[in-house]
Formats: sequence, C-alpha cells, structure tokens
Amino acid sequence: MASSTTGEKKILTLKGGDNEEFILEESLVLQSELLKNMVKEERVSSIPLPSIKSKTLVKIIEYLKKHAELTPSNKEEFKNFEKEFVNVVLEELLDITVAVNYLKINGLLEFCCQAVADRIKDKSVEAVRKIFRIESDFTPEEESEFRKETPEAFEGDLDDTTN
Amino acid sequence: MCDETASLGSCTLPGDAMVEILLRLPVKSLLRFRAVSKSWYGFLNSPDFIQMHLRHSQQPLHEKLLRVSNRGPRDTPTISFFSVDPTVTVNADDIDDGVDGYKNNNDLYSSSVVDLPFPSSPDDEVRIVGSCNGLLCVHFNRTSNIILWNPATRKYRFLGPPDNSVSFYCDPFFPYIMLGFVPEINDYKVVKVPSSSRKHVDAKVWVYTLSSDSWEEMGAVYLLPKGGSAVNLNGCLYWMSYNCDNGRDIVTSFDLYKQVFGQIMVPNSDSITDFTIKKLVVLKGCLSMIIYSENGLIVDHYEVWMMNEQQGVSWTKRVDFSPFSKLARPVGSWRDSEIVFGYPNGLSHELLSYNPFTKRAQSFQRRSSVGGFKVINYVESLESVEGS
Repeated sequence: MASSTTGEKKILTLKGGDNEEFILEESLVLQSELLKNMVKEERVSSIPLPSIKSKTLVKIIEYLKKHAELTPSNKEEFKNFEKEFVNVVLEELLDITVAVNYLKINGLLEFCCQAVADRIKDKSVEAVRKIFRIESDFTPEEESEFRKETPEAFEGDLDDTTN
Repeated sequence: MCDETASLGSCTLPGDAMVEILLRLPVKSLLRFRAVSKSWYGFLNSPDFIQMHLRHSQQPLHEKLLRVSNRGPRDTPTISFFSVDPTVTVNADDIDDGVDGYKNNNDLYSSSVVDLPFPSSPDDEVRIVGSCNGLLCVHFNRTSNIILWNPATRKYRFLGPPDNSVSFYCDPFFPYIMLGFVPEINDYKVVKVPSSSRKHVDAKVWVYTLSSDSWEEMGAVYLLPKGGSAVNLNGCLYWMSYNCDNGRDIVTSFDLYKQVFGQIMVPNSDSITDFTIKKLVVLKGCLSMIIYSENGLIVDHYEVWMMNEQQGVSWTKRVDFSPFSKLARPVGSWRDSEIVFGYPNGLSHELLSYNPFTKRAQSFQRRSSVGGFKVINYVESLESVEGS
C-alpha cells in the first residue's frame, strides 16, 4: 500500500490483534519509539500489532490524542484524564502496560508502572502470585520464615484480591 | 536488562516492565514480595536492584524529609517521615508576611511516624547526626554509642568502639558526627570530630568504615565544628567550622576516599557582619551557602552563594531575596534546587520549600511543637547496614 495523505497530514493504519483497523495521523504515533522507527525506516502506512488487543489499542490511541493536545493551560484537565485512564481493572491496566512497554511510549510507560505499583503495594504475597501468574517455589516453612524475619512487612490490611 | 529478566523468572509481564514496576514500590512492599518466589527473592536482594531502587528514590519527586522533634532534652524524639507533592507550588510573591492568608497544603503531604527499633535507656538523649542513601546515623549523647540504621528495613548496626578507645570517649562535649557515602568504593564512612577546643589534645578525629567494621584514628584538626548539619556531596563532607586562631569561620572538607582534610574560605560578601549566619546546603548539585544576618530575631535578606569548581574553588553569588516571614530560617535543601525554611506561625512551626531560581514556593507541615525540631533529608532505600 502506498503512503496515503490527506492534505499535508500523513495517515497511518494500526491493526489490532483482532484485525480491527485504526486510522490515525502519523504524527500521533511518533510518541511511540517503536512505531517512529518503523515509519521512518520502512515508510510503511499500515502496521500490524497482533499482540495488542483492540480494546487496549483504543485506550492507548485515546491517550496519544489527549497527550498531543496537552498545553500549559489544560494541564489540570490532562491530570484528571490520566487518573481516569488508569482507573480500570488491574488485568486491563497490565495489558496496557505490556503494550506500552512494547510500543516504547516512555512517558506513558512510567505513568502506567507507577499506577501498577500503587495498585499492588498493599497486596498480599498470594495476590501478587495470582496477578503475575507466578508459581511459588518456597516451602510453607520457608514462607513462615519471611514473616518471622520481617514481621512489619506483613502487618496491616493486606489486599488478597487480584483486581 | 537481560540478567534482570532472567533472574525475575517467568511472569505475565516482560522482565523490563516488571522491573520498572518494582522500582516504584515502597520498601515495605518489596520486603514482603521477596516471599513471592525464589527468583523474586534473589532479584530483590541483589545489589543491582538495591542500587536501581535507590537511584529511583533519589529523584527529586520521591525525596522525603524527616522531621525530628524533641519535647524535652531527655525525651525520646518523635521521628516523622513525610513527602510532599512537588508539582503544587505557588508564586512566592503570593505568600504574605504572616503566611496566614496562604493556603496550607496539608492535604498534599503524606507522613508517618516511626519508632526507634533499638533499645535506648530512658535517660539518654538520641540525636540523628547523619542521613545518606536511606541510612541514618544515630548518636546517644550519654553513652556515646553510635548506630547506623535503615528505618525502612528496620535493620540497624551498633558501631562498636575501637579496641584502644581511651581517646575515643574523651571528648567532653558532644562530638560532631557525620555520615557519608564513598562512591569510589561503594562504601559508607562515619566521621567523628571533637567539638572541644585544641587544648584537649587527646581528642582525635575517628573514621569508621562500614565494609571493614572498623575505626581509624586520624590527626586532630584544630578547627571547631560550628554545629548545623554537614553536607555530603560527591564523596566529600563539608561543614562549617571556626578557626580559634583568627576567629574566622571556614568551611572544612573531608575527602572520604583519600581521607584528607581541606579548607575553603567563606564567600567574600559585603553583608557579612557579626550577626551573619552561614548555612551549607546543596543546590543544583553544587556546594552552596546561604548567608543571612540575624539582627535580633529579624532576618531581612538572604544571599545564596554557589561553589564554582571550574575556575579553581570560588564562590559566586547567585541569588538574593527577602524573607517571606521575618522569622524564617533556612533548615536545609532538597529536590535539587529548593531551600527548606522553618518558621514559627502562632503556636505551630511551619515549613516552606522555596526555589530561589524559579521563585516558586510551597508551604507544608503546620505542626505545633513546643521543643526544637530538626529537618533531615531522607530517601527510602533497601541499603544494607551489614557492609557486605
């Protein structure tokens, strides 16, 4: 497909994992280091992103648009948007984080990682294992050792949920 | 990044993203999450991760202040840690002299009080004398015991006195004690300087090295520390001293790696009088001095001088400004280029963070405190007091 243009603006198509297509201005995706390199080096106009769910891609494009409109005068509004942006179930936030990490959108990656950290900081050990699908290889004796060694780290209301 | 990915083991997230998340967790969560799996345990305990986490905590956004309040001289101090959202500032001109008209950002800071985990006899006096990379140096005035303490991990280490320790304890006044990091050898040193005059020839400078858990005696310096916190910058300690021979103030430096003392003249400022107070801080990564005159109790003017090492060692006056409150005193610096001021406001003591370069300010921590208080820089870290 030849590179298409409307007026002076270059248009790019992103294809999500479920083959849904998103048509957007090329300038918008330059916030992603990965896409920037693809566009610059190969002059593509359509980029398949099979590993990213369309739902996730919708969210990320929404962010890119808002971020491109950021000016000193709407800083407050953007902050509120960011707050709402990560106000999703943890599984969805992790999907977004993985995609943003893959796309190398640095500012958003830092923001997502902080949001995940804030969400898991009061989780129990069991909850963290479930969230990240990690098998424990400690024996129950070894686990109780941790509680003895640093009891304060296990104090307080720990959250067992995975969302 | 490959090693980190491997050592974190398999999980739903790519290793580098998982590391980015872990770096943003408080120490309490990290201590708990060591129990997730053996690979997490190994990774979270690794020196590489501890270093990365420390560097992350040291970003201006994550820096904390620690406020030590004593109700009385014999009272166990209350230590509270707090951080403030640095993005919310106001133009300093909007701050009235009385500061009462100015909105106090009480909702912007989070604060927590910590207990001292080590035994201290009720009649002893505890002083926090140094803070570096998440480690605090604590001195007990009566017993002269010194402890290195990481309040985040709650680990502490008693620095046993040297074997031949007659001169170690002979300082009749509270010794001046400093803690510093030595980047060349990735180690910590505690420096103990006598605070009595040269007539007490037995009083010596002692230097403790964490990795070898040992004290070393050094030749005495005949310069009296003037009190006020020392500054630890790029492997050197700097503190204000008084030269008994000529009655002049001078900055003493100690290179922690080479273990040599140095002296730096104070700036040549017209405003230096008998009432001038000189406070050492770090601004924009440079050794800096805040000079102000205290005429009675009223301060009318502050000067900020910064060390310029490109042209030898020389001071340059960078900013001067008038106080927002005539009772405000600089108590330290943080977040790269902000000066922390403390001042009484009614029955409470308030803190104000002021950036002299942008003239933005932020007021916080309105707290009644009858006794004195001290503000110390702090970053939360996993740094070990074991000296590996």
